Amino acid sequence: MKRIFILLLAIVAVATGASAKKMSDLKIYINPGHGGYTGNDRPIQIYPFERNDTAGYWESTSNLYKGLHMYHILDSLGAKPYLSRIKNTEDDDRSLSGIAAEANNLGVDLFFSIHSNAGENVNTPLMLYRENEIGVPRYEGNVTLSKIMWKNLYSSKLPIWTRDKEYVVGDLDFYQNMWQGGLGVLRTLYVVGLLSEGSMHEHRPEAHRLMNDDVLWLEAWHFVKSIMEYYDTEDRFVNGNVAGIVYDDHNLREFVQPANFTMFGRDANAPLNGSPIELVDDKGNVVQTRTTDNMYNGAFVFRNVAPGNYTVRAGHDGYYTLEKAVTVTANEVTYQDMPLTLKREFPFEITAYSPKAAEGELVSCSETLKFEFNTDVDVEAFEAAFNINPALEGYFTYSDSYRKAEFHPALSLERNTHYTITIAKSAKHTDANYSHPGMNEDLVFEFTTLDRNRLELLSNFPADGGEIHMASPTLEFRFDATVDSKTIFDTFKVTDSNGKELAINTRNTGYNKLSNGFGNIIYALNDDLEEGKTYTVTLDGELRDRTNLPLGNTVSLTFTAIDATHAGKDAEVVETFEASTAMFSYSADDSKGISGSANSIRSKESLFGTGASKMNYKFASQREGVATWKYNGEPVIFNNGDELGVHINGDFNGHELQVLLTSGTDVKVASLGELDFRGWNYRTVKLDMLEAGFPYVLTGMRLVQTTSPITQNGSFIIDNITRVSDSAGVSAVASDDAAFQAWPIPATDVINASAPAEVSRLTLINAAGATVATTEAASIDVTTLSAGVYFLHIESTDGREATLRVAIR
Amino acid sequence: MKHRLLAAALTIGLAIGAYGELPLKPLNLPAGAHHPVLSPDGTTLLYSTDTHDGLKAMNMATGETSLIDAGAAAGFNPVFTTDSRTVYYRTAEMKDNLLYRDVRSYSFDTRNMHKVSPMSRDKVDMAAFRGGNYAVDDYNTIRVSLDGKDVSVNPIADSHSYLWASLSADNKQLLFSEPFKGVFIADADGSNARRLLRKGDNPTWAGEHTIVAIITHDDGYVVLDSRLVAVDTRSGEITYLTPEDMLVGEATAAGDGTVVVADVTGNMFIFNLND
Repeated sequence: MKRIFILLLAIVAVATGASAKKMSDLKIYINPGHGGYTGNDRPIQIYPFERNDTAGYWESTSNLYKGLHMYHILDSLGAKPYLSRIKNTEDDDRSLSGIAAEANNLGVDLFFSIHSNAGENVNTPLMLYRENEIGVPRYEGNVTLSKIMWKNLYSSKLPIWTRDKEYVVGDLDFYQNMWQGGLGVLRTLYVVGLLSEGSMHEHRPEAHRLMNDDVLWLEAWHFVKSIMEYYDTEDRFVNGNVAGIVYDDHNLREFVQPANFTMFGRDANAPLNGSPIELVDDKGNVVQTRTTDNMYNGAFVFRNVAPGNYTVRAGHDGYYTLEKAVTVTANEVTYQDMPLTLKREFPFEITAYSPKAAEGELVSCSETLKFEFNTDVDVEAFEAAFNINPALEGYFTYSDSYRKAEFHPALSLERNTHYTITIAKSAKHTDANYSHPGMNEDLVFEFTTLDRNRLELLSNFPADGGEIHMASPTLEFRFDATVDSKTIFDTFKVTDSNGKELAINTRNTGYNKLSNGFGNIIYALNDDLEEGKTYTVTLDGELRDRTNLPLGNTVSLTFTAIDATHAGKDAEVVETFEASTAMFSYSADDSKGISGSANSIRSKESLFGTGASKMNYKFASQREGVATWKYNGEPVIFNNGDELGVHINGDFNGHELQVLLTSGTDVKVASLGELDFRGWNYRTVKLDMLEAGFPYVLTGMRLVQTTSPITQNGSFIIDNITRVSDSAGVSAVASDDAAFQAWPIPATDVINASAPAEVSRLTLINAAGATVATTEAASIDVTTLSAGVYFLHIESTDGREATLRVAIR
Repeated sequence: MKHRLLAAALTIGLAIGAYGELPLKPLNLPAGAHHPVLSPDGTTLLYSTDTHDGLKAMNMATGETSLIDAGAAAGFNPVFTTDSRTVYYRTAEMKDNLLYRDVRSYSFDTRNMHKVSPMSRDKVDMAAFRGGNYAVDDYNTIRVSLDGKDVSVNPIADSHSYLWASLSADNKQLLFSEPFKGVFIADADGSNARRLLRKGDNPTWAGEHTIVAIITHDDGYVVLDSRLVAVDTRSGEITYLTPEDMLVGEATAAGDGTVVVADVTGNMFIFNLND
């Protein structure tokens, strides 16, 4: 049966033309990608080199050395390799099409381009092959060999890979929508051609590794091994290799170099430069030696080791020597990392700690507990030795390669609390070889905290269940202290009724705009709200003030979006603010307690149309300030019993807004309430305070300061002013006595009047309330008066009187 | 001759190409036409695909196109005989992942293909089929055949390799490219090498004192720009022939100044340097 099977295999082999090949049959063109020291040659700045230092990392260099190694390995196996370049100088940058043309000319069996890839926070091999069109490989062999290459590159355990899924892609597919024609170096090939992105050189630990010649050699070895597999050659590597990384088993990379980059696995540990490593055979003979380079990779490869059992021995000044047994297999790589333990032949000490409060000094509740050590601490032992009384939930962080520790209370220290911290002497370093790794004695220290341990929310808009105008919505929270801007976005969330989160406009969001140490956040939302929809706001308890004290409790509230333009829509609009000039002007004479000058400007931030009036103010102190703005628009008349409405965009400062109405010398004040809201709101006031029978004109707005330390300055905007008249027929006559008459209306020369008895006096009053003419006759001359609306006060000899509205043309 | 080329162009269509005001006239070839090769007398244009699949011909007088061979790699460096009536070329196939190539010839007179030698992995001197005098690059040397005598020359002392070697029409000058040093002309014996371009692909004679070549720039992965230039071999003056937004793939030229150029997406254009 076995014979028959072998015979069948032979027949199949003949039928398919498959036959084992020798490496000496192969002609292979090697293209170390890039070439030279320009921007296209992919420099990556690594410690300790300056940017673009040619001694530092360049992809053009690592590609070249991989290519040279590949050339020599192939050559040693009898294959015929060609190289597109053999050096790296400024001039070495030949054309991609010239490289392909040369490979075509030479009639090689395989074209292989060597690269590494960009990608700082990931690390994976990538194989690209030539496609005729997207999804259609030039040769099936392109794909087969690419898969073998990827598998073998991924088998290397010197890098830390971040992706375990095969990554083999056609070049047109990979570069679609980016470039015409795919990879230039593969475009015109008629032979099997592929390009290897062996690893990610932007990933800094990998860039450090790619500075190591052993690492480059091993990648080249994997290239050749893949070719052997693909061609199913008789030749295979008769020897194996031993590879690994020498690193500190506890100290982090930051212990030996600046390391503010992404690291995975043992790449986070300190690689050890200059470590001697020996490969010792089973007879005790040192058969190969290596010394790790000074490029912060700790990498070593014992190359071409005869199969058998060995010991890898690694040491380093100040470290314990480590030995590991390995077995070497032909055509394989045996990986053996060498994590070395630093000698710490001294007891563990806490060299500094905080807070250290002086006698009677109280500690902020936002403090964390900080410790510094004489060496890297055993984290588990330290945390077990730590005790805080009274107990407090929290967590530890470590820095400076475990030479510093910090205990962070989950929220904060409790206020008015006396704490005792104990670090038991069981806290130790990690040198288990040393007989007394712990402390000589316990460390105990105490402190008492201040009486404030939370950021306090004082007020918020909207209130729970409140309303917000749907357009350009803003929400405000006010606190007893200024907030830490770093925490304001991560802690705030608005969701609609479907749970969808609304985007925050970070650019328009403001914070800490209040006075006297109070803080606030005015969150602006990116998009308008939907009228009638309910939204939920959460402000997480992790919001912190500038001393790091937390809000503590999460604030949650709901509000409803409204359209503020709907309010007052049935009222008569008596001022639209659409004129090109400001309708109000600040009156210093009628104001007090103002710092500098308040003002009023025409604003485009309108609710209706394109214009509104914006009032800016700044009170000088925390109380008794009054800011007054005079109205300069066309006269607007109000009578007793009318309702006056104003659309107001409030500033949430809580000051009272008043309307000033004047008739003659009589000035009445109507309150629109406190500006305890943000965004547009419609406020109305019933004008029952006006003297019945007398017309009042709008003469100004007044803001009366509410005593508060929080804010002294602000601004608000007003748009359409409305009126709902108490009597629709009041248009001409302000009296209910029809016996009072005036004519003609409008008048041009004189106005005549009649009364129930005889007219005893006529008084003509302008829209500002000033008397402009009087007479004891029954008619009054108006020829010298300006056109407009006036009020004619008629007194009758029987003691009765009335006021009629008249117009002069 | 020039008249016949222009006639072909007129037959094919005289619309000005999509590259501004330059006199690039589109050749009405199927999409994806690459690797143009003009016969010495300019009557025939050979072309292929970007990966050299198949070999096709266009009669430049009539615009008629014909398939010479559909074989893989047939379009890679076909060699015309000096009388332009026969073309020699190789097709390739991967057997067990190894490259094998044969040699074939095609007569434009009989329209017959003839298999010259079977598939093998042997090196074949294709230039020898040309007849007459010629120069051919042989990786790290250039072989010059003059009056029946073959000489290998190495015009650049520390060269890496040579590409695109050819002799001028009068057989006195050698044109070639050294990939790291540029495009050169030298005496036919390889002496007195003089650099024409610091960088250039596919240099080709386009007149007694004119060559054309492609200057490309890339980022190591893809071609970023690629333009065809003409160089006066006496003065060294360089003239850009294609616009910046055209990525030139390949080009061919005839001694009367006729130039055919393909962009990287396989659109082909014709013009004459003397127009």
